[in-house]
Amino acid sequence: MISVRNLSFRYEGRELKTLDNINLDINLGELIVLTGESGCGKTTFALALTGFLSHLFAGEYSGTVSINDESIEKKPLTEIAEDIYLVQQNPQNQFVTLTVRDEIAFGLENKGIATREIHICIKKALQAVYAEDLIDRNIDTLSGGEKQKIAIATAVALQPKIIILDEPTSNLDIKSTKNIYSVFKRLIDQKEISLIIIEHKLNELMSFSPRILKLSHGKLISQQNNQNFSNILSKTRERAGKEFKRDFDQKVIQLKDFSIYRNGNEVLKINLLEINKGELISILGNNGAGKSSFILGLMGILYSTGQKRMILNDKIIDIKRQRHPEKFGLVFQNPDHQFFCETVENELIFPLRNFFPFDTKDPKTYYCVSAFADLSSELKTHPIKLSYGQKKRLSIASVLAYHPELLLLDEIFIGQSNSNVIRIMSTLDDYKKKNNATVLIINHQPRIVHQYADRAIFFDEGRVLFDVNINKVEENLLNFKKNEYLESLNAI
Amino acid sequence: MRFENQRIRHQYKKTMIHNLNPIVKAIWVIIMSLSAFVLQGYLEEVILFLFVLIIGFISRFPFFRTRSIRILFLTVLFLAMIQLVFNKHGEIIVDLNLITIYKSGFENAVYISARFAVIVLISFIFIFTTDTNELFYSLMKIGLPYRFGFAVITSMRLVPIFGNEVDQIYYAQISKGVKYRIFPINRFLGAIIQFLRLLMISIIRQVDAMVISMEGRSFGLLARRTFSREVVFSYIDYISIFVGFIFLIIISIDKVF
Repeated sequence: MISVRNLSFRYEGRELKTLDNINLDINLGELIVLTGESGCGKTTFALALTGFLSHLFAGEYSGTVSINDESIEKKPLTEIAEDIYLVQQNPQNQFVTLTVRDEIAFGLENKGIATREIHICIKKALQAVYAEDLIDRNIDTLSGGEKQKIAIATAVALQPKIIILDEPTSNLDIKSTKNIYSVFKRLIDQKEISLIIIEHKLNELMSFSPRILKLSHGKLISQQNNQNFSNILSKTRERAGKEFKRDFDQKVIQLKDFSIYRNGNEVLKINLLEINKGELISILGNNGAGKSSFILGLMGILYSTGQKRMILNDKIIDIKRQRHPEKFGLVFQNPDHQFFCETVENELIFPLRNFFPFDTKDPKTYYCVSAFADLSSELKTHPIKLSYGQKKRLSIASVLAYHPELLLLDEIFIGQSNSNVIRIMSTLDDYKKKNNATVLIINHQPRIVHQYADRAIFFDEGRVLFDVNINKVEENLLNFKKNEYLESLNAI
Repeated sequence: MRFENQRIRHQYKKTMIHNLNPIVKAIWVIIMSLSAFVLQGYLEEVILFLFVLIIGFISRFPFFRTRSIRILFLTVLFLAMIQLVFNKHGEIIVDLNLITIYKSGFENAVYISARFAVIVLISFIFIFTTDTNELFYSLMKIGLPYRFGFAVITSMRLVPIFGNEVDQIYYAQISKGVKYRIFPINRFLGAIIQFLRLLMISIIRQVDAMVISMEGRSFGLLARRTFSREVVFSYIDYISIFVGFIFLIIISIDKVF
């Protein structure tokens, strides 16, 4: 049905090809999982299959993509859209209208479909993604998982032959991810649509018996069934062999009756919480539980009340007053907001030069090249040209470069393959040990993070549900009936 | 009088004004604004202003919880004071030691203030009672080119996203050691340029994603698209339009003859 022949693409201004001589056939009703390291060309390949690459992007394009023996390169995008639909990585960015009903109707209205039929399609599409109850909701009031469901529903409503989902669960918590996989199951069972899922979380998809394609440096290096691929997965589960430190003698943060507010509303309430120097803490919880607010509240970015004592070298820190931000290393969820320079090299040393303008040491000695090795070949590249995963790693590397005492990392594993998550965690663990630094990591990857963490804090509906030593996490997840987290923790 | 810091924005309420068709409300805004200019007497302007106030109360407009009302009140007061102090035509109606108020000054003060208040207040009530999304869908359904309509709807979609982007970029700058201090001026300008450049990149990215989303759903495929939203005109809507036009004709006739 889809035939890709000798497809290559080089973005304008880039030396290396992002796609390199790809040949592939995809049949109707197939489930394909496209995986590979971040920056290997997965999203570009998705753009090529949907015709956007040849129509909208500047660069050297060669080869052909055909759908039902018709080459898409010369077809208008609006016609290609009849057959294939791309659900982009961040659903928030692709919504055009303000309500769920309008959003799902949008594509159908563009095709001139009769009103009565549109209403039927909206209903069916929402049923397909288990979201009938969202029909009258305003898009801005939806949670991350609900937004992703609606993004998929917009695709389903159009009844294309192929739907491509670009990392559909990357921004979602474990519970929402599970919900989205149940949506996939329903779509796969119908066997009317081919699904191409770009994903790093392969273990959850194994039960669907997909064909797995792996890209590396723009080349399609393997096409395997799930049995063969399970060997690759098992390699990522090697324990880090960590010995957990249990006693910490110096506190860096003490919070008592501490409340954090967004737009005048209390979003997080903490009765008592103490964080020790040298701890690596995994912060868990569903989207909207208050995890990011916790970090922003600690930094003084969000308004807070109650007692907040932060002791770093006997100094009290409050970043809102721009006092001692060099003690903190804050990495936000979205790396696109964090790059201020024109090359990767300058970006790596940007905060270092801001905080320590008279430091004359070679900046390369500061950042951890081993964990971010692929960035070393991109030093002269503009940060915005990096892949999403590379951007994330760059934002971490630039923070490590100035040796902050307290690292606050907000969902840094979005867009990272398992092997990259392990590399990053290993680097953070080394950093923590060498500098006796405190590291707080908001994550949805407890399976890997907990191999390195000393302690876990679980936020639930604006409260701390539990705060325990890492060895007690499973017990607490069981007690509080957080089964999806338990499954994720023990997943193969 | 205590005004809370509340912005004027659309709020869902079950009032007669909220239930009117958005197009009917837009027509009424035009009629009231035209009337404010057509009417020449200060008493007529006051009556018109009272009429708008009644509409506001029917729609449950939060008069005392809106900062913009305070700004409107102060502006109206300022306009009135200008006339009262500086317009010295006609007979004296109040003679205090500090200030003398003339008839023309008083009438003009009331006339200009009421006219200004009518035009601004009716717009506030329109914003408060009308879902902009619904307004543009209605306008597109009755003939507004859909590309124009969606230009407005997508802009509205992007406004909160950009607000969030602005916050995020600012926080990221501060956390990376950027200081927003006026001096030295070159550093201050550098920080602003960094901020704007990143914001611009962010906007372009958002727009790119939206273009892919729209093209991927055949936007622009047909010269005329369908609309699943129904634009309903109730008998109250028809009566409202009729009354509005009659009202405008009567005051225009009065002005002409």
